[in-house]
Parts: sequence; structure tokens; C-alpha cells
Amino acid sequence: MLYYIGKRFLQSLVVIFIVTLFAFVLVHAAPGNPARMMAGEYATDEQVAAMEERMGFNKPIYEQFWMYLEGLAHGDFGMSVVYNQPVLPIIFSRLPVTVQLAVGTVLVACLLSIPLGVIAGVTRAKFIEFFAMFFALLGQSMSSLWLGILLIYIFAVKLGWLPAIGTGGIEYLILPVLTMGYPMAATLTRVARSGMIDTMNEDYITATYAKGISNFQVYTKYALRNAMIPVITLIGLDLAMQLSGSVIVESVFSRAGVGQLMNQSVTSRDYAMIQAMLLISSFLFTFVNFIVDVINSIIDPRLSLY
Amino acid sequence: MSKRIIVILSVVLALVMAAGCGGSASSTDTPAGQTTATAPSGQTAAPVVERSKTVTIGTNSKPTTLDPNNFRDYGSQAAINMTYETLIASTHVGDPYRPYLAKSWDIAPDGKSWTFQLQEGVLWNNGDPFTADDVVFTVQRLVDNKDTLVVYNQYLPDLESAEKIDELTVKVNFSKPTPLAGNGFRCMFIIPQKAYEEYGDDLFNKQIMVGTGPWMLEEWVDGQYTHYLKNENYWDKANYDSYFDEVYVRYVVDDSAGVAAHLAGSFEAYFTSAGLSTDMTSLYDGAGNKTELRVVESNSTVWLGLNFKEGSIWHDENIRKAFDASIDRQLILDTVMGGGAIPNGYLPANMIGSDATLPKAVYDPDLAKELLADSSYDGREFGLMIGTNTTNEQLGLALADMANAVGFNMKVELTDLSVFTPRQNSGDYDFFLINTAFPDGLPLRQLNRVVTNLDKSGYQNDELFGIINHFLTELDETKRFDYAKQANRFIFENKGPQISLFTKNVITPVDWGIIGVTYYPDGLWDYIHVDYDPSLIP
Repeated sequence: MLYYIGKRFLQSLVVIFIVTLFAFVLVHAAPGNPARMMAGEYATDEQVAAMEERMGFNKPIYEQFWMYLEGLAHGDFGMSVVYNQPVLPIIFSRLPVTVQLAVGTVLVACLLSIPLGVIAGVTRAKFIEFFAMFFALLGQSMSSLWLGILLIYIFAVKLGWLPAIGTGGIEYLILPVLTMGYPMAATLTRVARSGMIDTMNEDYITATYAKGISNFQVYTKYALRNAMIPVITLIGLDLAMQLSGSVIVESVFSRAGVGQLMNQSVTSRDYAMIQAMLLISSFLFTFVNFIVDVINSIIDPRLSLY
Repeated sequence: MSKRIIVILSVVLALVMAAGCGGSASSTDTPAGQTTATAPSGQTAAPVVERSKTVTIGTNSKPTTLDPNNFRDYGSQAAINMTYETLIASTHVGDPYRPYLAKSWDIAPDGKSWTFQLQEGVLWNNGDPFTADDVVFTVQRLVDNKDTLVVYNQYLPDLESAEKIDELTVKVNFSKPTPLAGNGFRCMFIIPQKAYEEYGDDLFNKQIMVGTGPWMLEEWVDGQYTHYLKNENYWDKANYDSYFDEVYVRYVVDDSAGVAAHLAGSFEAYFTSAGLSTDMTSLYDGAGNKTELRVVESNSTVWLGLNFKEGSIWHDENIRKAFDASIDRQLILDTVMGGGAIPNGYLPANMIGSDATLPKAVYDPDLAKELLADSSYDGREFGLMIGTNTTNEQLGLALADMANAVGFNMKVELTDLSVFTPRQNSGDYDFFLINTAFPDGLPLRQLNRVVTNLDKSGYQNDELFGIINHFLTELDETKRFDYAKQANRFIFENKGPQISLFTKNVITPVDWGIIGVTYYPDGLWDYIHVDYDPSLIP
């Protein structure tokens, strides 16, 4: 196990370095001048040039990248040109909002999709399967922007049951979580259903029936674990993506998370902020994938970590 | 099985119908934050509407800093302005400025210094007295950090020093004559010397925010809200003592969600930086007993910036005049913009340089065709760079239709802001469309960008540059106004380097009874003096 952890850690470092390099090059290649953003719209060319000199933007790109890596090694992720503050505290102040939304979304999606998908896959009952497929198709077809606005219109404006925007208690989470959770649940339902169908057709399941084991035990003890492997993998990928922030949902519901921050940073050419967030995202992806692999290996020891 | 499906679908349908047929949450209820009290028995007076002492305002302009000398955006300036004050303030309709922390001022004949007499009895919200030392300190901070503090670069680039004459008199010096320094002084928030020496930049970064303004910052949560408490020791309480004890300003990213939140009662006024777009106003239908759509005839102008790079079509005056004559401005105002005005000349009305004797631009497609036929235009395609939003898209398409109808071959390049700005700053465009406000009713920035080549248009005209430079440096106010008028006439008659289209009305939805949340004609807005007047509630 330790060997595996060490191997994955080194692999992760390589991935993160490559992502950092690509992010740095692409961000610097995009049109726009962050020095002008910092100096102000009406700054003269001389003032902009002075700002470029001070920020090091006039240096060759490889030199800027080296300076960036040196900064990273010292825990300095750079200064935001928008906030004129170090970027890490700003990102960490936004992260709880995104984490709240991501965790809530995954919980709701799992609660909705796994029972529905498993029951549909097991019973193959016409009505339940129809409902599950309809549920999945609708969720996968809907734009989250449209769904979010629709939910706000119905539940906030017309019914007045829930707040339209903002953060606060659990009532502020319901609509955003539904907006993100439903499309995710739609995909998971299909995967759970397919997983169950495939597993139930395995020979070992037939053998368990032949041994006289009850249907409930067959479904839960023997079939469910193996059927959940693709579901868990998908949950992991979705969770990692959502921890990087959902720009659309955070914008519609005015939740100041990292998704909104990324959108703002791209628009204002906040290089340091963009790079820091990409770095953190790649770290989260590799970490979550690692956890998923470990869980899958526990569920099915045949999936050796080695 | 089919019965179950029918039952379930019926329930879903009933829920949807209930939601759709139900009135807006606020249409019949007492407005948010209010309770209705009945008149005492035996009397027939109208019901008295009491409400909570907290008001919430929504806006899409969020702050990114609380440093009063280092803000780049109006969202930050508006947030800071609740707690900090300037020496003078804008009247928003042109010269002169009005007293604020300074009760009067004198400008030296050479235009190189301003001497301010400060208000008496002003206290910082931590109880320290406000004196000339604070003004001197603020000026020194700007000068010492001229390379990093945006307020210096943007508004007071020739600021040199300040001298204390006495406890309530201070003289501010410039390195060269700066007759238009008022525009800079209204953006120079005064910071407390003593508190800054104690806390440094933490005064702003850690939200300690010791100011003289009517509100004290309680908390700023980036991207979410700012919370203010009333400053009970405000020096100008005689003129402004708000009904409210607390103000929340909530930040919204998506306009449609902002409107929905306002309709749902999440806030009581919704400010967007350019006003509510016309396609959103219908969402307030039926909410008239709660919300008023305030319309301001702003001098905020939509204009076209032409590029005069080598090979550009705009070098030919006939082409510029043909394009100008091809635009039916009134039709666009009526069908796309939701109202506005066509200026006399290039500059809008009610500002420095306005000239009512100048005619309005005329829509004359026949003239446009004649001029185009008599020009060097060879039918080449050229693009209008325009920022992405619904109104801009409609506007751009309308302009293209009109121009192409007279023989131009024009396309529209809808461009995200992140690409628009760098292209504009590098001169990578044929012409662009933009909307600009005129703070203080001055055409300062609009004319300054011509001579400084801010848009990298490559435009060069010694006569116009001479007029503009005279406007920027003339010490005599009357002569300065005249130079602005000359610039107005020149640009209008030559249709370059800019073509003014129209000014637009700005629509702001505000709940009845809420006052002091104001969008001014010069394109600025604030909520510093938010207050409550129940007599205005219908």
C-alpha cells in the first residue's frame, strides 16, 4: 500500500507540473495585458510599461515561468491583479462555498439516482424503468442555466418558498443543489441501472440463486457492490469537477465560489489567480481519483492497486 | 399500470399550474420588511406603514478592494464611498463641484494649487478629529506610491504635495497647471493618518475602515455582500440622518437572477452598472404596487470609435459622413434601446461643451448613398467590434442592416469583454461601439483619450488636438467651456475620430418608499444617502 501511495504521489506531481506548464503558457498566450488591468484603463503607455517592469511581465516567458516555480516552492502563488492581494487566501475564502455545493450535489444525486437505478435494473419493471429512463433523459437534456432560472422563477418568485440567490442557511443551498444534482443524478441513474443489469446477468449471481439465497441478499450482498464500481468512479470524477467550481450555477445563484472567481479571473487576465486555481484543481482531481481507486479496490479486490 | 402514470402526471400538472397561476409572492403581501398598522379607533387616517431598519440593495457591481486610494472599478468606489469621503463631491451635471469635507476652496491663478478650508467638527468613526493632517497624509501616500496606487495614475497624475496651513486649511500642489483637478479630488478619499499609522494597509485589508462617512463597514464578504451600520456620530447628520440603521449590499452576477431576487423580495432596489436592460423590464409587469421603474435621462453616450490605421476606410470624410447619415438613430432608440435622446452635435445635453445650436445627426439614406458613391469606398468588408450582451447584439445588427442598405459591406463582431478590451487597447479593430458615461458632466476622459491615443486609433489632427489640449489646460473657466464646445463642433462636423449615436435612458427598479439610491445623469450612481419615505408608497 505504501508503495502504491508513493507511486501515485509521484505520478500526481508529474501531472500537476504538466498542467501548471500548460496553464502558464496558454494564459500568457491569450490576448490581453494584465499590466494594463492593474494600472487602470486610462493609464498611459509609460505607466503600463512601468507596471510590466514591476510585475516582471516584460521578461521572457521561460524566465517568468521559472520565477513562478520559485515562488511556488516558497508557498507564494502570486498576487491577484484584481484584488491586489495574495491569491491563496482569496481562493480559500471562496472554497467553502464551492465545497458546500459540491458535497450537497453529490449527496442529492446519489440519494436520487442509486435507489432508482438499482431498482430499475433489478426489477426490470416497465413503469419503473420507463420512469428512470425518462428521468435520466430529461436531466441530461436540460441546460443547468435554464433549470436554475426555472427553479428560481417557480420556487422563489412565484411561490416564495426559497431564496433566489446568495448564501446562508440550508435554504440557500436547495435550489443550486437541485440545479446541479439533477443532471448528475440523471447520468448516475443510467450507469447504476446498466451496472445492475450487467451484474445480475453474471454466472455467480445465478449460482447464488441456485444456493437458495434470498433475492434481497442477492441484490445487496452479492450484486450491488460490483454494480457500484462504475458509479463510484463517476461520482469521483463529478465531485472533482464540481470542486473546481461550477461557473454557471455559481453565477446564476450568485454564490461566490471558485467557479465565479475563475470566470472573473479569466475575464480580467488575472494570471496568478488562474494559475493557482488550475493548480489546485489538478491537485483535487488527482487526489479524488486516488481515493476512488482505493475504494474500488476495497469493493473488488480483483482490482489490484498494483 | 397506466392508471398510476395518469395519477402521477396529474399531480405534476396540478403543481405546475399552481405555480404558474399563483401571483407573485410579493404582489398581495405587505412588501418585505414592512408591517401595516391600522389607525387608532375612531380615526379614519390612512394606515401607517412601518418597516424594519435594515435595507438591502442588490447590484452587479461588486468591489474588489476596500483601499480608498487604489480602486479600479466603480463597484469598489461605491462600496468605499459609504464609509469614506472626499474633499469635494460631484453635482453630476457639470461644473461646479459641491462642498463635502471641504466647505470651500480657492484655486490659484496659475492652476497649480488648490487651497481647501475644511469642515469643522468632523470626526472619524473611531472618535478621532478630522484635520488638515489627514489630507496632507493622504496626498503624501498617493505621491509616495504613485507607481502602484491607481487613484494617482487615473485621476491625479500631476499631484505633487500638500501643505498644512492650519488645523482646518490645507494647500494641495500640482507639478503643472491642473484646472480639471476637481475630477480627481472627487475620487480622492481622505484616509486617517493616525489610524493608518497604527494599522497600515490592514486598515483596509482587514476591514477596519475608519472613515468619516455616514456608514461604518461591518463586514465585506467578497462576491456576496457588504454590511454597513449607521455612523451615529456622522458630522452632517443635520442634512442626512437615515431612517435605516443597517444597509446590506448584495452582489449579483446574472441579471435575470438579480431581477428574480428583487421580485422575490431579496432586496429593495436593484442597480446594474448600465441600468436594467430593456428586455428585463417586462419582468416587472404586475409588480407596480411594490416597485417603481425609475428612468433617468443619462448623458451616458453610445458612440463609435473609428480606427485610422493605414488602409482604413475611415480616412475618407465622405465615408464617415455616409455612415453617419445611414443610421436611423430614432428608430434604434424606440425599438432597441427603450428610450433615449439624440444629442445636438457630438456631446449630450447638460454637460460642459454641450451646444444646443448644433443640429442633431440626421438620418438620410439617399444622402448616404450619394456620399458613398462619391467616396473611395471599394466595397471591402469591415467589422464593428461590439461587446456581448443582448442589447448590443440587437444594436449591432440594426447598424449593420442600415449601413448595408446604403451600400456598405459591414459585419458585426460580437466580442467578449476579455477580448474586446485588449483588441481596443492594441488598435486591432476597424471600429468599435462602446457606451461611456461623463462623470461630473465633463467630457474630460472622452477628449483626453483622443489626444493620448488611448484606443490606438492612429488618429492625428493638429487642429482638434490643439483645441482639446487647450480645454485640458485652460485656467479660465469660461474659455475652457468654449474649447469644449469647439471640440464638440469639430468632432460632430468631421464625423471623426468618433461618431456619437445617442444617449440612453437608464432604468433602475426601486421599491416604493426607498429614496437616496440614485442613478445620476452623468452615469454615476450611489446609495450613500439611502433613506425611507413612506409617503411615496402608493
